[in-house]
Amino acid sequence: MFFKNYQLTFMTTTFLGTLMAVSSNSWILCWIGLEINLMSFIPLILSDLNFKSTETAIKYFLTQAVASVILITAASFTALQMKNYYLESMNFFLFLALSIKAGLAPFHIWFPQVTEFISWFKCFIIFTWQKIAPFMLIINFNISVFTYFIIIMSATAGAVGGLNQMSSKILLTYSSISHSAWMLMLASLSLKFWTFYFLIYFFVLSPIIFAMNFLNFKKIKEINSSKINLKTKLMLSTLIMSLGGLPPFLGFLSKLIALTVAVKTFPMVIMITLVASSLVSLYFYTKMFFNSLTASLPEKKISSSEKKINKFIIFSLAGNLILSNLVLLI
Amino acid sequence: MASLISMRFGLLYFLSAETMFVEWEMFSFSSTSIIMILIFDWMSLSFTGLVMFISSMVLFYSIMYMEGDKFLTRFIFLVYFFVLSMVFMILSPNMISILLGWDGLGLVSYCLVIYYQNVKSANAGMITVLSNRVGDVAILLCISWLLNFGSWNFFYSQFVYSYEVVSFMVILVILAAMTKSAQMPFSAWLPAAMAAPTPVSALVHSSTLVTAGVYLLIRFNYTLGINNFLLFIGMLTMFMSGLGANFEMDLKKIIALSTLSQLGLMMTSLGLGFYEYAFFHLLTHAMFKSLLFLCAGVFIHSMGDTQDIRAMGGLMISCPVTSLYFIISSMALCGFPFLSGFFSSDMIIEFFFQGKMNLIMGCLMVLSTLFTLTYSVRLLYFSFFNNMGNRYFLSLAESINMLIPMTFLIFMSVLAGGWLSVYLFPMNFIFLPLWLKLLVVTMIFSFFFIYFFLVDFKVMKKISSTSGLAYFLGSMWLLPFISTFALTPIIKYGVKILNLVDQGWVEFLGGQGFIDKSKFISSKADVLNSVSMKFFMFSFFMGVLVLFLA
Repeated sequence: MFFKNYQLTFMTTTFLGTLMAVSSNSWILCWIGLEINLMSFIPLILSDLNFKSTETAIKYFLTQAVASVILITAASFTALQMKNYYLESMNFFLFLALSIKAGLAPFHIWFPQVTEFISWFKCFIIFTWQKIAPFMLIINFNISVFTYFIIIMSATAGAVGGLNQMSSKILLTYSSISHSAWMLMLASLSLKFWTFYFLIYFFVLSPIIFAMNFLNFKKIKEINSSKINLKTKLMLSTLIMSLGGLPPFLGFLSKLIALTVAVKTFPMVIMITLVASSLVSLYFYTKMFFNSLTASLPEKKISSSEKKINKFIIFSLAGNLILSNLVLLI
Repeated sequence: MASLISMRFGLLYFLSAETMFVEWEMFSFSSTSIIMILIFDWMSLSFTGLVMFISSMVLFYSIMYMEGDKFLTRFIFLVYFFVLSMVFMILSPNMISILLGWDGLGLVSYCLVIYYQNVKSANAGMITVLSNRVGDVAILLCISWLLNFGSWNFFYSQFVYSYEVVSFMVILVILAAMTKSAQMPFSAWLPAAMAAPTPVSALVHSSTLVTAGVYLLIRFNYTLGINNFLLFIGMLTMFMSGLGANFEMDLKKIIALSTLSQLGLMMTSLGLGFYEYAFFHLLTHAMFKSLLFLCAGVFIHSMGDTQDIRAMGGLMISCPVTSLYFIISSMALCGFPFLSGFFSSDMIIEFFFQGKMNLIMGCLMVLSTLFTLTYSVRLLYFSFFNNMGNRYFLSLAESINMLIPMTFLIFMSVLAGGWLSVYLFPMNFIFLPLWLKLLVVTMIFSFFFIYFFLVDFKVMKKISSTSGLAYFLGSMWLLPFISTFALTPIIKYGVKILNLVDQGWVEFLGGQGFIDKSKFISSKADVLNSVSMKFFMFSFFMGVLVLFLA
């Protein structure tokens, strides 16, 4: 199963914190919501009972606490300056704080170190849920030079960082960083586009995490060995390719729509960087499963856990393969 | 079947002179749209009808001919794909879909030539596909050149404002057609491609693949106009292959060279601007040439798979019906009066003689027609009137399954010429002096008998087997040698380029170099992961503090 029963207490407050931060009128309430989120995520990290979970929790706490400090300071400064209208002078720092919270480069150092030692489900929460609050708050800001800087850095860091890695969690971390770059570009435009991209990312990522959880794949070597049947291998490989943004799959649709929407507003360099980083990151996506499909190893029968995964993955596969083509046919 | 429907509509469309375009808009993207068009006019429909007719006959035939073959399914699939590509190419009005069909034709003909997997077939397939590839490159360049003119259709290129601009495209199209139809510099592959199974030769190398080039030129006829270059090349090919077939000893190679000769005739008529006559000759030639190949297949089958004509003799006794068909189609090929070959090739020759030309052209044309006759008669002599040269005393009779498709074809090849000529060209006015008009017919009848006397002379025997002249003329003026061995220095240079460029600095800049540099950068970036967090935090906090105060 995904999570233990006792983790439910703090999961509710995590979700509550995000919802509070998103639906708030002032920055102080945002800060409160984000702090609730942070504080209730720490016990979730600690409940893993790893030999490194304390260290992970401390790293996570420190980074996010620094971000919260910057946030509350900048929020106070805006409140101080506000007489009749809202001055945007502190937007830079608010944006900075939120990007540290989301794990965008160049503030992404904590991200792989944290995700390496927590369980798959917490990974999933960090990749998806913890990004909702920062991005939804970033929607309020205008596009600035700093936005361009972060997009380019995140794209590069996400692509290049994953090239030398062995552990599949860290690969997904760097993929999350590079997807965050795309999400940042869309969030600077409007809510609708970011929601679209985020939902597709969520939809594509969840069966992968589910499968990795069940099959207990920690390193790339394990995926590439033939412990799983050919059908499962094919399904997993199509899902990973969809995450990487390869054309007929769903992941490509999100990137395509992002490009067609953002090409009117963003300078061309950023588009090119994003697309190039997508291309380079395809390398480590392919590394995950390529050997399993091309090496000739003896086939094994389907085990019972695979049957459970397969049932789940098939639905997401249907979405991945068919949905994007249906949209394009219009 | 489909062929009959196609033919009927084709001829109907000719009468009403209408063309039907079927368009399918694949997708439109801002202001451009990608549309897939098929053209149905009388030429494409009748040609489709012909292709389907011949391919259905060949498929019936090949079930019997290739029985006992382990991979018959593969063979049938390949033939099917071939027909699909051919029909697609015929029905396309623009260069992109022509290229699709063209490439499909080249690829599938390669697969069919190497069907029997031995060294000779491999070499033959290689030279086939490489020669065709030159034409593919020409069409690709043509596509990119046509981007200037706004459309890839071939109708619009005739309206281009000045000829110099479109002349490059014309050169490319002629090059493509020359390589596909095995005209003079590129004719090495057609006799070599006889390493394919005989049904393949009947379908591919007699009627459809090699006529694809001629069909392309017919489609471009408004842009080409009257072309000197085509005239010369066609005449040269006709002459050379006719001469070469007289010295050749392999049955299928003789028939291949006769195909080449008739292709040269088609090119000549195109060069003169008579595209309708070229098309008509294409249709009728396909009928009797495929029939010739099928008969040759029966002969080869009955002699135990040898193709040498010195091993044949007395085949009239063992395969009577087939030899009847063989004689009839040979006569149709030569232009025997009122068989189908007469209506098509004779018409071209008479129209040729109506115009002004120099002595050499006239002589070459007469001589080439003569050669058609001589190699056909030579073939007849060696297969029927020779002493029994059979190495093994084996002769399998023809089977009824192989005869039925041949019967259909003989029916069409005898009658189709007359029917189509009355239908397509009801009024022909020919104005020739008497000796020119009678030249061809008297040649046919006289040389038919003269040849039987000639072939027994000792001098002829000595020339035709061992001398250097015979070697030169018989191997198509040393073309296969030039196309393969003489090009070796160029290929060696290509190997050098491969080592220097493709596996040299291009790798360094593109594939391997990029991944090395990326891995290097990534490993350096990973260092930060092992640095202690404390240092990072502190420096970051200090930085932000400075920013706040500034």
